[in-house]
Amino acid sequence: MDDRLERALDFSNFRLTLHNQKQSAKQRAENMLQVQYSNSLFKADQTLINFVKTMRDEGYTPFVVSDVHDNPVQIEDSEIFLEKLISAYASAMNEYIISHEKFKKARSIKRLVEWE
Amino acid sequence: MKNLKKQEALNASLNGNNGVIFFAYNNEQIDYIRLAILAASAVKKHMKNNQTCLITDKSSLDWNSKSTTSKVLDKAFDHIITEEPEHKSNIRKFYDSPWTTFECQFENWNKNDVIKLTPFDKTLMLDVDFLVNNNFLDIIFKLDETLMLYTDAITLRNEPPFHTLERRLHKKGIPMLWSTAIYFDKNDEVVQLFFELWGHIKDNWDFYRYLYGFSTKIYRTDFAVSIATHMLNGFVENTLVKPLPDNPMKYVEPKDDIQDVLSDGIRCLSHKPDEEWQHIFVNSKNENLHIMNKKAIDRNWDKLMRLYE
Repeated sequence: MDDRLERALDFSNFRLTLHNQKQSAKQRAENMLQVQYSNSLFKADQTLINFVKTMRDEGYTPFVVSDVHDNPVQIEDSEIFLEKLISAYASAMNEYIISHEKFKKARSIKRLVEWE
Repeated sequence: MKNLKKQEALNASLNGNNGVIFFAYNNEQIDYIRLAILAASAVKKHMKNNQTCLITDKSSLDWNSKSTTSKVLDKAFDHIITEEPEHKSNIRKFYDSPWTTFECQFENWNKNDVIKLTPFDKTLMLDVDFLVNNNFLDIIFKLDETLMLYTDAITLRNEPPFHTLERRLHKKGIPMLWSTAIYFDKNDEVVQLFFELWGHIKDNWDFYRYLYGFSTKIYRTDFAVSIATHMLNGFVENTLVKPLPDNPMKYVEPKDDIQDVLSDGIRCLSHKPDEEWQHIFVNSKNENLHIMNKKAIDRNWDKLMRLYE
């Protein structure tokens, strides 16, 4: 095979594997953002964290937010709820950035899948 | 059934009467109890709600006493229930990579009886080829939801299923839900209705095959729960059964393989569905995996067990 083509195909395989591993890391981070509170499930994204903080800072307690299934849920203790959201967000994003940095440094499929 | 041990009693007091249940009926090709031991060990390692129960038959247990020690079995399961399956023919084609296939009996006729058999109030029923690799599923035991399952799935390549029959019951049919993992509260009336209807659909399988327009003759519990959900939901697309927290379910296709088991994950070979000779490596870490290639699990059983020690 022409060397130029072989090198291009090697890189193509690497890109495919890299993209897939990045997607999996992103999916894991999404899953880690899930928080259970008051028998309901929430996603600790930036929007919800900001909304909850605003409601708490403005003195709206209790207040209602929608869970991931669009059910309205009354938040009785905004302090604990916010703490849970921020904690989940921080854990998920810290792990995500560690994975991301590792992928950025990898220059071969073997390194990507930790064969070496 | 064995009595609750100290640790189980502690778990029960901390987490309520919650647990995870597995069905395992061996056939001439696959030692399902061996797979169940692995799956239960993964639950024990990663989940807090980790009381486990095995439903099996006498002949499978007898065989297992030759293939693994009773110590391993006792460590993996807190309860063992012996229940003879219906023994109706259900021959299924299994893959082990794109190059190897085999056919054998698939015993899944009594899965809907889980609601009567489970020793737990809140139960997560898992297939024995579903390996828990994180604690995401612990959340469900603390939710108001009484019935949850995976409504979608993605392959190791993070793509939706290639084949129509793993997305819909037929080309223009209702969406396929996955019976691989089903969470339910057995004291809920809608849940009881759901399992009753599942039993009815199973008993009238040919009629429902015709009604829902799919050609596959084997009894698929994925299809049965999809139909039951569709019917209970007023014959429109599902809003009744909520997805499990880590939906979509990640699955290793029957034509994929396990290349190696790492100290903290599993390295797989994922085939390209339209060019089956092409594979990529995929490292799977901390994600729950439905590994449909059962022979691949069996080949790597010892290494996988070490992962869950």
